Amino acid sequence: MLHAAPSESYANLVRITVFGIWILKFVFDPIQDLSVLPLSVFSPPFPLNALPPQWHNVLLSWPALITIKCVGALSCLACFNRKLIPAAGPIASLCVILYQCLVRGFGHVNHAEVIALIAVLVYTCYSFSKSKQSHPEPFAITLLLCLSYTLIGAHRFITGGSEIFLSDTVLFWAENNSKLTSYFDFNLGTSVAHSPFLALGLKAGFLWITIWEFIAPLTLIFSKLRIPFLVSILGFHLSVLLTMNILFWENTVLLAVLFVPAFRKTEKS
Amino acid sequence: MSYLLEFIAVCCVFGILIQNASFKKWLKELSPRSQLILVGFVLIMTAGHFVRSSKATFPFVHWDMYTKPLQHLEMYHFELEATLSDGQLIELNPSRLFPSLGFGSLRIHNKIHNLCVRLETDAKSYESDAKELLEAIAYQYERKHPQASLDAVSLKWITESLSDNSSHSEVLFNLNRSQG
Repeated sequence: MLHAAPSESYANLVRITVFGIWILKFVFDPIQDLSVLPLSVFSPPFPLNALPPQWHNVLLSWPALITIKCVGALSCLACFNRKLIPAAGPIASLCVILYQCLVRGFGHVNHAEVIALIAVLVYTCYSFSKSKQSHPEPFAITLLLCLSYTLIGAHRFITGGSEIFLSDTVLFWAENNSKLTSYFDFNLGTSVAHSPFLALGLKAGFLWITIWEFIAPLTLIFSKLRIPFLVSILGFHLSVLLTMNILFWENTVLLAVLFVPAFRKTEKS
Repeated sequence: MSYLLEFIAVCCVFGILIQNASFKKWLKELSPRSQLILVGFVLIMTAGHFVRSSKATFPFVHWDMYTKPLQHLEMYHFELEATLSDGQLIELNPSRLFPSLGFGSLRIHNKIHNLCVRLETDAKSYESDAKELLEAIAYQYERKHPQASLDAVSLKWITESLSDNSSHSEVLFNLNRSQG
């Protein structure tokens, strides 16, 4: 089974990866710029939406945003040391949740960083628990990452039905997203949608990836599925970036560390 | 009915995992509290998905991605066109002006897109939101380009038809910053 008995060094690598993702985000993401945006268009998700609007005003001030950035980065840095997680983990969790609620308040509740966020919560919760299994976190995070893919796959199969795979829906999304004003400018969606060969590839790939998403948890117990799963999912994330300008770098990093055999060399047999 | 089918589908995949001997052995080695944490996260994440209201259950969200089949043959998108003080026209990219809301995601894009939809149906009610948001975007542009000064910003709504390849553009809101 994947991550049944991770070595100390591999467990350290996974922990540093999870908290490292957030350090990078806290350091390089200029969230202090959110202070210039008007509160009238701010509509945060839970738990921030449970707070009175005056609190939103305070949290979206420049000093508060800089404080969240600094405290978040430092508490995540402290979590590199496993022994410090009981103290720093709750602070890191609070900062990460606040940060993610604030950015989603000026947009929609997208999925990009959700598993990386839940991974921080997993480390925090496990820091208060002792068990014979010394490092349960890598397995727990992999299971939850796979669960997210299963929920996506099951929902697409049941709600979208055959129509979503047989119609030109995916081509429409690719072309539509290529025309949007977005951060990246790859815009290959239009070219793909208008090339019969590439369009067929995209449509077939959409069904292929949904099957892999749906069966993702089975990669935990069937080792032969891992590499095809990893290649398919990473290929999917790359194609979404190139055709729709949407990047899932947090999931890509987590998938690499959790599934690439080279990273797991130190795992006990 | 679709809820039930979806739940059964998820249970089938997890049933195979739960029946696995090495998984059972691994789970038994965990302390009761550690088992509770693992099962708790799986249940809360699954519940969050089936509640289907990501705003209410964040970070345990509804995993709805690329699910709805094509329902119309029109593409809608907006453009923010700004006029510099020297009369030059430029296009503003809010995702680049606010990377927190645009790097790899469409957060600010979707916020403006939704505002366009509302302006189209009820311009009066959303005029002040549009004014404040466009003013903030213009201000951010000027912060990042200290030499530049924006006199006006237009929010354009573009409709493209896939059936006859026609395109239609209309200005939904104009922010005039040169007056006072």
